[in-house]
Amino acid sequence: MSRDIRSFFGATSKKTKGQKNIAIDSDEEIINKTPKKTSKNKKANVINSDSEEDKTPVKIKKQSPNLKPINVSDVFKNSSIKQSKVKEKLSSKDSVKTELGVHKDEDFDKTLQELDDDILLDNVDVLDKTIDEIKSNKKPKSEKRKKINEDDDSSTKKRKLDESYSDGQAAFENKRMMYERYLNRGGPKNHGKKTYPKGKKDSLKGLVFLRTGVLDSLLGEEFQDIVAKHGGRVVHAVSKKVNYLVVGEEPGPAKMAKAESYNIPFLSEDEFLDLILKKSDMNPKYVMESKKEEDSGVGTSQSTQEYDAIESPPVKIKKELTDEKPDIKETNIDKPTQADIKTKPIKYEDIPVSTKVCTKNKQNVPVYSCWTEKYKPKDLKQVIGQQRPDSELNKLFKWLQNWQENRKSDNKKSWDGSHNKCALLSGPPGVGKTTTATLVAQSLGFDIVEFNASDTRSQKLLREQVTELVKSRTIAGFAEGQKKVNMKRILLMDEVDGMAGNEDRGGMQGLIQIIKESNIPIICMCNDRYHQKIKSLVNYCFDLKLTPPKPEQIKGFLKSVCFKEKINVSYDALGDIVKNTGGDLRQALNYLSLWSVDHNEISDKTAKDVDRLLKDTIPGPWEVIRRVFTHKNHPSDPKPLSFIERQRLFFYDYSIGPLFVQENYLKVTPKMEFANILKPKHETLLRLAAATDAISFGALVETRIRSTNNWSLLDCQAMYSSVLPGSYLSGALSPNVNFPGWLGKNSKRSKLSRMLTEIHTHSKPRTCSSKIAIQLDYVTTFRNKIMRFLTSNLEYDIAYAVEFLNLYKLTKDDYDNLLQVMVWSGTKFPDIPAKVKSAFTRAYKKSSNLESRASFAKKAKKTEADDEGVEDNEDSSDDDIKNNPMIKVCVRKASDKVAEKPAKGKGKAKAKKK
Amino acid sequence: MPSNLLWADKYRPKDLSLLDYHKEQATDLKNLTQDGDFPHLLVYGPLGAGKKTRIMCLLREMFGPGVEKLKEETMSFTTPSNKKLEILALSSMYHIEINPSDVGHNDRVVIMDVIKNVAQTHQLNMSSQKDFKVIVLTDVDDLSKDAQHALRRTMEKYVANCRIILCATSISRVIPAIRSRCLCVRVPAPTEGEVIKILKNVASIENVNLTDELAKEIAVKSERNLRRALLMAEASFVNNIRQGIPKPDWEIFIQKTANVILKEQSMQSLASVRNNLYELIVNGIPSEIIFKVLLEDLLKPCDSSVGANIVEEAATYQYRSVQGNKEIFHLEAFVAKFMCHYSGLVQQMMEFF
Repeated sequence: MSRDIRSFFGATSKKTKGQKNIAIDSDEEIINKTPKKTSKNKKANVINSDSEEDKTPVKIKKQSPNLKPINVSDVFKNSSIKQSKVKEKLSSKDSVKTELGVHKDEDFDKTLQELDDDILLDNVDVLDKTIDEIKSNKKPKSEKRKKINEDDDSSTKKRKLDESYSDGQAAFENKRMMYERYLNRGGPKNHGKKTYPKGKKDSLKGLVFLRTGVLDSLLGEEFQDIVAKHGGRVVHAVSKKVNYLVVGEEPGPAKMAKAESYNIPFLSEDEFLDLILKKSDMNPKYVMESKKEEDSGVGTSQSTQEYDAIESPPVKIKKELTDEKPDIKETNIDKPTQADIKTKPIKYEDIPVSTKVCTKNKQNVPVYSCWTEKYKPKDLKQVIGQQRPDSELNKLFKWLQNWQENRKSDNKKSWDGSHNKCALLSGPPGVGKTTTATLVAQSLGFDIVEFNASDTRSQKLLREQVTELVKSRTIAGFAEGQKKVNMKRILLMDEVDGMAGNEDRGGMQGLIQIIKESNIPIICMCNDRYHQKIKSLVNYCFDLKLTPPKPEQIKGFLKSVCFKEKINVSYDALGDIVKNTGGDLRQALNYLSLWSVDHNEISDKTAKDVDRLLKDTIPGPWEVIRRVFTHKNHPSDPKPLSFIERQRLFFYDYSIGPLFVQENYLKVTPKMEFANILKPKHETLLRLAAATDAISFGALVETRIRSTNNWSLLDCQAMYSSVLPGSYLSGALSPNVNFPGWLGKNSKRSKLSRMLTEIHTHSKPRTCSSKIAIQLDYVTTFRNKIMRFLTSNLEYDIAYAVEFLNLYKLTKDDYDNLLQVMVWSGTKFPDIPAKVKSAFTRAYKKSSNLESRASFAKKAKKTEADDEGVEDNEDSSDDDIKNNPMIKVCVRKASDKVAEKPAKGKGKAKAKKK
Repeated sequence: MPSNLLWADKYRPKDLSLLDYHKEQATDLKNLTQDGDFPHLLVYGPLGAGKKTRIMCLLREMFGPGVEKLKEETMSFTTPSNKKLEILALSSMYHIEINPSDVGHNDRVVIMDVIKNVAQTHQLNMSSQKDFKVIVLTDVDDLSKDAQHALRRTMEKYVANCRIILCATSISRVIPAIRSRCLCVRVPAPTEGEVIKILKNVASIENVNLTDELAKEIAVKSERNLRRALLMAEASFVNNIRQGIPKPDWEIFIQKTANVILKEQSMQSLASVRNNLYELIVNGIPSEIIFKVLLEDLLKPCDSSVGANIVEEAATYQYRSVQGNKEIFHLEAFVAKFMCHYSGLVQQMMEFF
């Protein structure tokens, strides 16, 4: 390989001159010495090389070294195409063509002025000879014809050289780029795909091969091996001695040029392999095979077309569209051929291979290897499962169509979403939300601006970009020659439920704001319409829910794809794929394409294995709880859950799973197994007891886990909290599964506990008792006492109630709390008239005003005291304790409230004085 | 005395010498404070036996009536996870009373920060008789283990500056390390006779006619809980009930629940029992009380052989409910087990599961 590099530099040319340079390779020398030489071939070659040596090499020699690159660049331009032509030419069989080729040579000058294609054709002519040689089992050509060829060739070369002489600098650049490309080129495309022929040992005896470029399936060393095995030899530089140049992809242009000048026939890999077979008196097959293969790749065979006729309509249309691509290509090329069939003698229509290769090289039309792209609908009518007139797609279409008019009308609420500026497409992945939206917008001639999860969509950025978008105009139309600028624009917000994190902060609010102000239609897309984040958005949107297509529709579509891709697959296997992908068209296609890579046949078994892949989906707790209680032999589920699977159920969410089990185990109708021994009622009880026992123990384990961080006990908890209850109580779970009530109850409990704590701390100086005592004994007493005051219908009793509250230092809030804690279902409070209630509140406020004023006074006193110094403060607190209303003095004389009031006032006054 | 106060508070003795029962103990406590100092105390006993009353009497004995001038004080502290918490404390010049379990599992921080703070500061008021402050911790048995361990070192370290009085209903949940550092004072519930005597006494002061039968009934129904007995007596007097003192609401509710269980043993009844149990738990009735009352009610119709098994089950599950933190799980398991026992399925229970 390393030697090939030299072909890029002028230095190599010197070597080609002498015969000795071949001797560089020791192998070659040995082969040289072998006595046997196939006379005819050799002769022909000798003649060839002789004639060449007379002309071209000398010419090249004469040129100064800096002319070299010019030559290279020129060839390089055509090199890739040349290769393809080789194949193409080889596949044509009739010798008429070569004659035509000769004719063509006559107006060579003319064609030279034309495009690359024509130059190609020239090269093809050079190769014609090679093919003929293969075809005629290496019968030497008439020298005359060859000479014509050579003459023409050399003249071509000359011309080319002359032409390219002018732009030496550019050529140098080209050369550098080429070298880079050489360094980066890959290995054989189909390495190891072919079976290599075992011809007769000496079938290639005396033949000298030179390889350039990357072969289709052979590595350099393998190629050398094969040649050596069959008695030939491989050299690494072009010389007259070389019989064949085996050309692969990205061939060395220098080699090609020189070989051309020596008139060395070019072979493709397949031709080379066929040569071996021929020499060993076997039928050549490689060229044929490869042709067949490529043919099938394009997939325009009649049979597929016929199948399409039977297909369901949407699929059919789709099919035709995918066929369009190759069709266009062919017609494009066909036309000139038919126009001047004389000058361009090659029949392209026979050789779809070439067209494909051509397009590949030119990179004009992308050839998708990804099926989801390849079979993406290109037209509204191709969208699967959306063809009914009332489908979501059509609704969206109508909505968008009438969007402008709807803005004028002031129709507030309507079922068809005409008042909404935004449409929200929701549905599971792979049903075609984005495709639908894009196609609808395109078909109505909108320019699409899309934001998806890959864009940062914060409030600020959204505003900036969208305003920009609304104000600006696209000039895309100008490039295509449209005079009118497209003013219709649409904003696609894809994956709106993916607006999350710091980057998209405020994105949803921003989006809603934009919708409110927008004067262009907006389409949003999301997976989960009921997602928390989407909730606010839904109010502003025309809600469209895309459902997965029917299994039959998907099946039909997959079937057509399989036909196009030449995959054998049974209808049942397709059914399995559809079932296991759950309506996800994209995933189904991906699976199909995955399996078709290896073998063009998908067995039923493989398709069944899809569910193995789907195992990785995470079920939510609602789904898990159903599975936990699934009975071992439940008819609806043919596959009983294994022990490990049951255990795994716990781990989907081990924090809430046990709560779900505990909440819902009473909703199971357990399957009886001891019906013969026990009454069903008793068995239920026994099972229940066993299950609750396990659940209770599981809760214990959980506490241990959390308190000691001993997470290795999770396995143990899985057994007790999920597996055991599940197996004790396996059976039919009632359809309405409840969310764990424990969570709600627990929070309510802590709320009530907080209330109690308040009551407790407030009343503590009086009651001197613990919280439990307050709870169990005092709360009811307090409540009853106040209630009695309030229901007695005596006005002064309200005052007593307030006094009671104050006495126990309870606040009005505490009173409200008293009505909530320790209340049992069944206990009823006597009705308190609203009048009394308000009077009570008023009275309380009045008294608490005094309190607060007192506390204010106390504060003032405190600050004063601080100024005066610590000592004074202490004194005052000692003395004034009786007067300070914030400090409850147990021995306070306040037999009635009238007496109390002045006391408080006095305290305040004193405090102020101080 | 304000007439509006509840009897239970109105007639609470203020001095050790005025206590109605456990007079011997009262004398001991009085002697304890004779030399102006006392060790850490751990006062424990059932509800309504008079623990807090005795503690307050003791403090009054030590510091004089100043201890009754209580004021509320909000203490704030920061948990290691930077959460700000507040706890209400009652304090006088000489002592501070805190219930650390108010803040749940953060009680350790209270013990560490707040108590340490109080303990580290010297008594500023030179006029007070003692150079130490008293910290009263209530509901010590609800303290987490962490908090208790934090406490044990604090107790020794700051013994010069403070005395700690712990108050608990049962010392079984107080770690031995703390028990050994304290002088344990058990305050048993008064006998029925004592309760009746006190009730009679109060009735005469209030000028209320209390019959012997009624007093006895109250004493029994209150389970020798003096506080409850006084509250019940007052309630019955106010409502003019001469016979058939009602039990507390929550006891009645538990009884209802027990009736549901006894009436039908099935999945449906368990579901309705669950609702009742939830109600009890939500209202904060401690699970041990639920277990106790429920068990008493359930045992009534059972014969002794089944009863023994049921008591064993109750013990098992009550232990679990103390160990774990989701009481409902264990209560429900107990109810389910009871249903099996009650339906006479003991044998089958052993065989099948």
